[in-house]
Amino acid sequence: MARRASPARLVVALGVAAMLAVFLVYTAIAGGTPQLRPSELNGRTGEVALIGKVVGRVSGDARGSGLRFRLRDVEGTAAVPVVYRGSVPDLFRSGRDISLRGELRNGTFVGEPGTLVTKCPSKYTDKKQT
Amino acid sequence: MTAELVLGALLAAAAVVFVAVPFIRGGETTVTEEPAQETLVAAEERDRALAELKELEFDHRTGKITDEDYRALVQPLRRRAARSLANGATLPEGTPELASEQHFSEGSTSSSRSDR
Amino acid sequence: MPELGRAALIVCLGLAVYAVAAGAFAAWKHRRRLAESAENAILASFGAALVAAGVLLVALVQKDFGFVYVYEHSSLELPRSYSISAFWGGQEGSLLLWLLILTGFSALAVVLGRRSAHSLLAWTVPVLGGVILFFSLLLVAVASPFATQAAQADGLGLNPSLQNPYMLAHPPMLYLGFVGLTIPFAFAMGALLARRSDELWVVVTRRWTLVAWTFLGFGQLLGAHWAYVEVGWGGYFAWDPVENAALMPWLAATAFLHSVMIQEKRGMLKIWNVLLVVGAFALALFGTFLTRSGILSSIHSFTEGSIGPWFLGFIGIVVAGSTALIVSRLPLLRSKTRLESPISREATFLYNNLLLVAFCLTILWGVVYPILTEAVRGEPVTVGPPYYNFFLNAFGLPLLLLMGIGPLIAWRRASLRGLGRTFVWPLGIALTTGLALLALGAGSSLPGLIGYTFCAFVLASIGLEFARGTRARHALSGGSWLQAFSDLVGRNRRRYGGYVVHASIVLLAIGIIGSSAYDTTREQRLRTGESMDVGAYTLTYRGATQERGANAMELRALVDVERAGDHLGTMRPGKNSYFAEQQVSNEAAIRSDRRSGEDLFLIAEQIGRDQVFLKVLVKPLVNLIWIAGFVFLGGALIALWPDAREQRRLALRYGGREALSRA
Repeated sequence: MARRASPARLVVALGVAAMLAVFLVYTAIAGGTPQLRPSELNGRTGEVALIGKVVGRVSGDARGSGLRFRLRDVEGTAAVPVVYRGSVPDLFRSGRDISLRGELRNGTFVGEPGTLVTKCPSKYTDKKQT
Repeated sequence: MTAELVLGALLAAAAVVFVAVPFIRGGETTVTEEPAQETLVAAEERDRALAELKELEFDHRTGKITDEDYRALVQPLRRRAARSLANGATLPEGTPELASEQHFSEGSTSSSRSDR
Repeated sequence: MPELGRAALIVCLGLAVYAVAAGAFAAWKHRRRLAESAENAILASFGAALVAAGVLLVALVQKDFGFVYVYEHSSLELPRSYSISAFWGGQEGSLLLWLLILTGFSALAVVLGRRSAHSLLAWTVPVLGGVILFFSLLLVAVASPFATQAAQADGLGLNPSLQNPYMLAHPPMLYLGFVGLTIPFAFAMGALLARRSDELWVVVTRRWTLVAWTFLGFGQLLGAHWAYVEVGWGGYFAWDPVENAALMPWLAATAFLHSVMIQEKRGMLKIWNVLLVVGAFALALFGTFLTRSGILSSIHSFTEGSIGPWFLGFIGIVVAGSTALIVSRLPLLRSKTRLESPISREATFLYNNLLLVAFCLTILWGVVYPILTEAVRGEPVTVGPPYYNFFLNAFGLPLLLLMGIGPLIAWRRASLRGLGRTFVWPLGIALTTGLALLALGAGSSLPGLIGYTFCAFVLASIGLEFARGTRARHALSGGSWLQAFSDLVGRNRRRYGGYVVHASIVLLAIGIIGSSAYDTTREQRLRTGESMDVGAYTLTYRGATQERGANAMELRALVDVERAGDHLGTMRPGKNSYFAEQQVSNEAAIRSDRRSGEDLFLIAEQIGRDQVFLKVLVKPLVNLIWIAGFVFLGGALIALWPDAREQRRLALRYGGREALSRA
C-alpha cells in the first residue's frame, strides 16, 4: 500500500490544508468585528468595536436609562457620544481607555450590553474585567 | 556602594574560577566512551521489537486482540525481534530481564519458558 | 544594593556568551575540557541569576523605594507575601524570574546530563547558553530591574487584582511550564547539531516535557480559578490573548507528548516531533511576547514599548535557525516505518495530534488576525468567543472521543472483529448515559449532550482498561486484587498515569460543559426586602454594610439565599476600594453546593442602603473543573514516578564503558 510517500504524510498535509481552509472561510464570512477609533466611524453602520478614551462627564445609569459619556481617539481629538446599558467594569472612569461593541445610530454610538471592557493602563497589570 | 562593587567583583571572579576548573584540574580526565551511533540505533530497534511483542501479549491477554489476530501478528513480530537480536545488537551484560522476561514466559502460547 | 544586582546580571550575560562560544567550539572540535568548562558556565549562570534575584527580593521585602521597580509595584501598606509576589508583578521582575528559572533548569539539565547523556550535552550547552544570553541581554540592556531613583516615602502599590493567593502561585507555575519547554528544545537541537540519529534526546527529555506540561496545565487552571473568584465576572476563561498565550504552547506540548510515544514505539514521525518541540518552545516565547509587548491593544503601543521587537527578533532567529537545522538534517530524520492502517493506535495518536495542532492553529489565527487585518486593510478586525467556542466544539469533541477510542485499539492494525468486542461495553454505557441525560433535560444543548455522552464513553473505556488489566495481572500472578492492581500500575506507570490524566480531562470537560451549556443567568434591581428567583434559589436583599479592611474600604450587599424553603445562608457580594492604589475591585460571592457541584454566583453593583443591582449566575458542575486539577496532578505524578527497571535498561543501552584518557 505505502510506497515512497507514507499515507501518514498525506493525511497530515490534507488535514493541515483543510484546517486552514476552514479558518479562512470562517473568518472571512462569519468573521470578526472591525476595531475602530472614533475618528474612523464616519457614519459607518453595522456592528463594530470602538476603542477610545472616556472624556468629559459620565452621566446616567448603566442599569437604568443608560450610561452616557463621550469617547475620544486615544491620540486625537475626534469624539463620539456613547450610550451604554449593561455591566460596567470597576476600573471604568473618565480618562480611562476602553473598548465596547455596538453600532452607530443617529450620531450616537449605542453599546451592546456586556461588551464594555477597560484597557489595562500598564501592560503588566493583568486581566480585564467585564 | 563600594561594598557592592567588591561583592560584584568577587562574583565575577568566582565565575571565572568556576569556569576554569576543568583546565586547572588538568591531567587525566575520566571519559565515558559511548557506544557508536549504529550500535545505539540497533539497540533501540531491538528494544522496540521486544516491547512490541510484550504489548501484543498484553493486549491479547486483556482481550483487545482476538486469538486469530494474535496468531497472525505474533509471528512477524517474533521474527523481527529475532532478527534485531541477531543484528549485532547483542544484549548488554546484566539484562536477563529483557529476553527471558514477560515477553516469552508469562502465560503466552510460546513454548519457551525461563526463570526470571 | 542595585549595583550588585546589575553586576550579577552582567556576569550572567558574560557566562552565557562563553557557554555559547566555548560550548559550540568545544562540540565542533571535540575538546572535552572546554566542553566541561562551558557546562560549568551554565551552572555558574544560575548562581549569578540567584544573586540578582536575591537583591531584588531583599529590596522588595525591605520596601526600598529607591529601586524604581519596588516603587512602582509595592507600597508600605502591602502585606509581606504580596511584596514578594510583586517580584513578578511587573515587566523587569518577571523577566528576572524567567531568567532565574531558565538558568536553574539549565543547570539541572547539565548536572543530570553529565550522568546519563554526556556526549549529547556537547551541543545542547550552546543552545541553552543562547537562550540564557537573550534573556540576560534583555535584563542588562533593555529592561533592568535595578534602575534607581531618589528615595521616596511610599510606593505606588500593587494592582489589587494581583493581591490574592492565586497570584502568588499562578505566574511562577506558568513560568516553570514555559521555561521548562526550553530543555526539550535544547536537547532536540543539540541532537540534530551533533548529527545523531538515535533517540537519546527523547529519552532524556521525557520527564522534562511532562513536568513542564503539568506545570503549564495546572498553572492555567489556577489562572482560571483566579479569574473566576477574583475578577468575578462569572466565567473562568475569556479567550483573552493573554490566556491564549498560555494555551497554545500547552496544546503543542500535549501533541508532542503523544506523538513522541509513537516515535518510541514505532520509530515514526521523527520530523513531526522535532517540529512540534520547536513549535512548543516558539509558542512559549510568543506567548510571553504577547503578554508583554502590548501588540494586541494596537500596533502603535507595540512600537512604543521597546521589549516587543527584541522578542520578535529572537523568535524569528529561533524559528529560522531551527527550521534550517531540521532541513539540513532531513536524511537523519527519515523513518523507515509506515502507518499500516487508518484503524490502529498509531492512527488515533496521529488524529489526536492533528486535532490538537488544528486547535492550536485556530487560536493562533484568532490572535494574529487583528494584526494581519490591520496591516492589510488598515483596520484591525477582532474575533471573539463565538469563533473560539465554535472551534473548541469542532475540535474538542472529536478529541474527547479519541481519548476513549485510543486505549481500546491495538497497535499496527486492528481488526473490526476485535474492535466490536472491546467497544461493546463503553458504547453501551455511553448510549445509556446519553439517553438518561436526554430524559433529564440535557437536550437543551446539543453540543452539551454530545459532550456528556462522549465523556461517559471515555470514562467507561478508561475504567475497562483498568479492570481488564487488573484481571489479566491477577490471572498471571495470583495474590489479592489490590496487589494485582498496584502491580499493574507500578509496572506501567506511564500508561496508567496517562489514563488518570485522561480521566481528569474528562472531569474538566464535564465541568466546562455543565457550567457553559447548562448555566442560568439573571439580572435584576432589588429593593431592600425584595426577592428574586433564579433556578431553584430565592434571593432576598437585606441591606448594605461598609467596613474598613487592611488596605481597602469594603462595601458589601447582604443577600439571603433560600432553596426549597431552606435558608442556605447569607451571601455578601460587593466592592473593595483600595486606598493606596485608588482603585475599586469587584468582590463576587460564590456559594458552592457540595452535593451537586454547582455554584451560585453573585455580583453586586450600585450597592445602596435601599437597593442593589444583582447579577446572578447558576453554574452547574463547575467545581468539577477544580477537582479535575487535582486528579490531573495525581495522574501526572504517577506517570512521572521513576521506574528503576526502566532506568537500568536505559542506562545500559546508552551508557558506554568508562575509559581514562588525556583530554
